[in-house]
Amino acid sequence: MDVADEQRFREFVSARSPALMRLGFLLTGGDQHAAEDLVQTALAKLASRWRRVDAPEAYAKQIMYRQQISWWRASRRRGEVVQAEPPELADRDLNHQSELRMVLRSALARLTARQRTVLVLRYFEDLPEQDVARALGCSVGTVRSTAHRSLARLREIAPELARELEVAK
Amino acid sequence: MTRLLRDTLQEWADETRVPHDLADRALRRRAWKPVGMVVLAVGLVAAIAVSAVGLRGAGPDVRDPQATMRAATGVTLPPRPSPAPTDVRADTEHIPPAKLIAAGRMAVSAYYIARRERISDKEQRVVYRWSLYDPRTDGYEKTSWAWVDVAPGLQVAAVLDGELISRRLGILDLNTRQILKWIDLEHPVGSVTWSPDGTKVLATAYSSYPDILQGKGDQASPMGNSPRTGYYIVDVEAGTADYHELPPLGDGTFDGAGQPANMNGRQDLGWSLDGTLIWAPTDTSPDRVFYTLDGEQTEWPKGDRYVDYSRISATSPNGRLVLGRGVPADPVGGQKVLQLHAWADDDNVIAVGCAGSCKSEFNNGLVLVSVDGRRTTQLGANRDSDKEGSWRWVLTPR
Repeated sequence: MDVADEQRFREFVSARSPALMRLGFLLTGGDQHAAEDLVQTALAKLASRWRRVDAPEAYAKQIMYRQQISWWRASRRRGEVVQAEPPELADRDLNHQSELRMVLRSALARLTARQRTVLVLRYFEDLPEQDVARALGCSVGTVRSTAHRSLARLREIAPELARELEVAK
Repeated sequence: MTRLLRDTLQEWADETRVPHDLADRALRRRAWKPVGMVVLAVGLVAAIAVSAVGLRGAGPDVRDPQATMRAATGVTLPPRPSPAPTDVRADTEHIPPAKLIAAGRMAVSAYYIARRERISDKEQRVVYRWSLYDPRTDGYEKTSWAWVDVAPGLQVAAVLDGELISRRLGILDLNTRQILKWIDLEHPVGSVTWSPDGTKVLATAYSSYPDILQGKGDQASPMGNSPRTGYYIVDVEAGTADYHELPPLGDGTFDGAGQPANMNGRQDLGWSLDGTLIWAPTDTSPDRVFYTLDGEQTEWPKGDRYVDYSRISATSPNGRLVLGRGVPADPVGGQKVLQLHAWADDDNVIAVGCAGSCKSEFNNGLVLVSVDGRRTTQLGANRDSDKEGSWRWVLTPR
């Protein structure tokens, strides 16, 4: 990487790091440090192949998706973000959307990295199932079943959301 | 459900903070190597040399033919200790340190804690609270100076009176805590740094406070137009203060590729290793641009090798080894060294790392590591270096 390359790399990072950090934050279940680590790792790999990559953002994201899942696969190095039990809201009125979102966040943080990644790719990145499959290196059937199991798991973790989840069917 | 899930994800993602130095971190990480190799000598010399390209002709002509000279009354500086102490001093109990941290030829002479203050809905400023080595207690004393720099030898410090930028520069005797001399300046300055021989002070002048960030919360970033105006060279013993204009480097937005640039407001100047030139920091690579003492741009001084973005020499005292860029990883015993900062002596380097268990790359402290990577001694307690309010050391020759 020469001086001009480095400058272009810095410009890319400056422009796109908010988007990458948002993605990393969700993939890691709201863990700021883990998200920074994930983005840094992806950017370091990107930097080492800078001249050979045509679509740097897509490449960085691809590394993040796979890295997140491989970490989980390999050794639970990061483990799941351990969160306190979701707040006891059974007796409270959950009409407020903001409360529902808080419950859902807490439940999302307790999913496995793989389950969460599939949901983030489908509902945050808005990727069709085929693209998710390509990004994660698995079949469309696996994406579909993982998404299904992830939603079921959310229902299990946060029964308060069951009605919302049922409506979604 | 889909709607709720989408909304939740969007809202949650808004809570992340975007670190300002991701590119630096990525470029550094790319260069990590096992510390066992503490990249001594040969290979590294070549790597460093790559960054030492000449900069002749680059950038605007910033020479100021009409330097202002202000007379002041000189002061006799206390002598440096000879021989200078070289013992290893650690404080692994206190954050920030309460007792002197030192190893070999270098000591933590001061440290600062930076925090952000809200100025308006759109702007914040970073302010520094300095603590200064106090030989009377062998610890550190909190100060209210706007900026400080301790001279090599740890006998005196240059201090700036006030809170942000200052027209009053003081020479403080560290042992008596008395100001030996006040020097009044026509142009306000925002930083001071001693020449390597401890006889002159380079003070960087700004028309307004340089550490202003635009934006809210952690999204705030430098505004891209530095208010640097020039610099003073204060000859403390002769009692003169020469002012030279030196506008800031461009922020890189409109410069051609490869032009040195810096989008930070604070662009404090530094001395070359032998004190015959000065340099301005860039946020590009190479990491600095050199000028004569009169402010004329000049080539990178032959043989000068610096720790990246620092005033400290990367070359070992005996001249045989050169610290690498970035470096480190997992050497012996699971201990990690993350950045190499300064040579303590020919065989040991003051570095950032962790001799115990680090929660993350940013949970680290000062360590002393042998060049073969076999011995690591913790000098300071681990702290979360990425967190606002963490202390940042300044290393000075003892």
